[in-house]
Amino acid sequence: MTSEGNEIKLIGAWPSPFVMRVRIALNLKKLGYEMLEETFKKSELLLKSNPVYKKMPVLIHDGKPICESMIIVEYIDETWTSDGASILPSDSYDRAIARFWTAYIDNKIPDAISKLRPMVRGSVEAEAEAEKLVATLQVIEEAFEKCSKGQSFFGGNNIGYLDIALGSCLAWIKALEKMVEIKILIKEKIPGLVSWSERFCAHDAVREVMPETDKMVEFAKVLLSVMATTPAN
Amino acid sequence: MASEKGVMLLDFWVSPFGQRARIALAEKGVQYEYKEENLTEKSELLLKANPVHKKIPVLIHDGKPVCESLIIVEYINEVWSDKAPLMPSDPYQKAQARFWADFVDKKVYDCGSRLWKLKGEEQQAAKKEMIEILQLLEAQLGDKKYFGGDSFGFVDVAFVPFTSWFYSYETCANFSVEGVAPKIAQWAKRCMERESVAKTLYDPKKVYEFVCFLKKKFGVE
Repeated sequence: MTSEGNEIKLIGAWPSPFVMRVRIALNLKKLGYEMLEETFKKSELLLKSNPVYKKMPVLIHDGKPICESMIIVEYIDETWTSDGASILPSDSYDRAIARFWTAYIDNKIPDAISKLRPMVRGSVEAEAEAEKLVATLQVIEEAFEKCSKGQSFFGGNNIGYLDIALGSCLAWIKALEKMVEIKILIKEKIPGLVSWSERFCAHDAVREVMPETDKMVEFAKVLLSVMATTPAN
Repeated sequence: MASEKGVMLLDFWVSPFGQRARIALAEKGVQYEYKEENLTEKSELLLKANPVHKKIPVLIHDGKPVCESLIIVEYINEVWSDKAPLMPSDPYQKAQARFWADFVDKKVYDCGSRLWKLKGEEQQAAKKEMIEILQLLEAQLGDKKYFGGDSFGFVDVAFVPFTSWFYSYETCANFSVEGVAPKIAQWAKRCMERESVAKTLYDPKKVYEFVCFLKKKFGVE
């Protein structure tokens, strides 16, 4: 049960998959929090709370900042233990596997998204880049078979650490399919993950924080124009 | 892999990532079989144990492989929890430890490699970055005995293998770690007083020989 002095603030922005990860974790634990929405210009609070990387998300719990999305997710899991299901698996080996695949996802998918975002719709390079992303997801499909053991999610019956890591990328993936006219969530190639993605997006803890595809596409256009006119931040 | 009982570590002698695993195992007093890999001719076992990255270190525990050095260290810490805890128990302190270990992971090896691979302006830029990294870590260490406080912990394990590379960084880029980050230099000496570290790290001159070999291999003057 949450006690007094449990003030939770989250510095973030609704389109960010990294921020979404934290929101999903907070939802799983049924925790209330204040969302401090960042704009394209970084706030003083963000710069102060994450001086090393100057990036969101930052969770501020009773005034203390925690940075790096999956570190925050683990922190939430370890701090609020009686609320809701466990986010990380309980078995040490399963935890190592969840962490391994999360690192793999973070190594590959954000970069792939960044590469695809400015590409011309239907172009040869977009097709090639999309194929690479599908190949990455095919590797993850195998991991899904092993981790889920026939259940709905990587975490088993409920969403867990690895579901959050990958699922948070779905908003961008779907937006890119539309914007760049490419296919990524291909049922014939990654059947397990396609079904999983539908279940993930429909989950109570996810639904309200997963932006709609059209909204993401609109945001992407704004983002691309901002990136074209400002130096790298 | 046969489901044999026991612990095996697939590794490469000078790898700071492998050394993290070795130090953690030593701190915990775990008996294990060390297998040196030839990275130009990777063994069947390595390719099977780490098909995704084909990299060392890989810890194989009762036939099951664990990959990625910091993940291996957390695994070792959780499984052999009876001795030498490498993580604080407080979730906030744990988050801080994970953050800084991840920082070391993201920054030190890459920046260090640029110090010996590059020349001229690019090398100067890498040197500036390395000094910033060392000073950030120095600020984090402060006046503590270890990054973990009084106990040798996760961040210490993550960073200490790179101390045997300091001489190489200093020689290639012409600066002094002690000069820019004296507390880090002292911390490195304190860590060497620990058996787990002293028995795992190679002499900095030997590491430098290896760096020179790499420079030749990559055609760097």
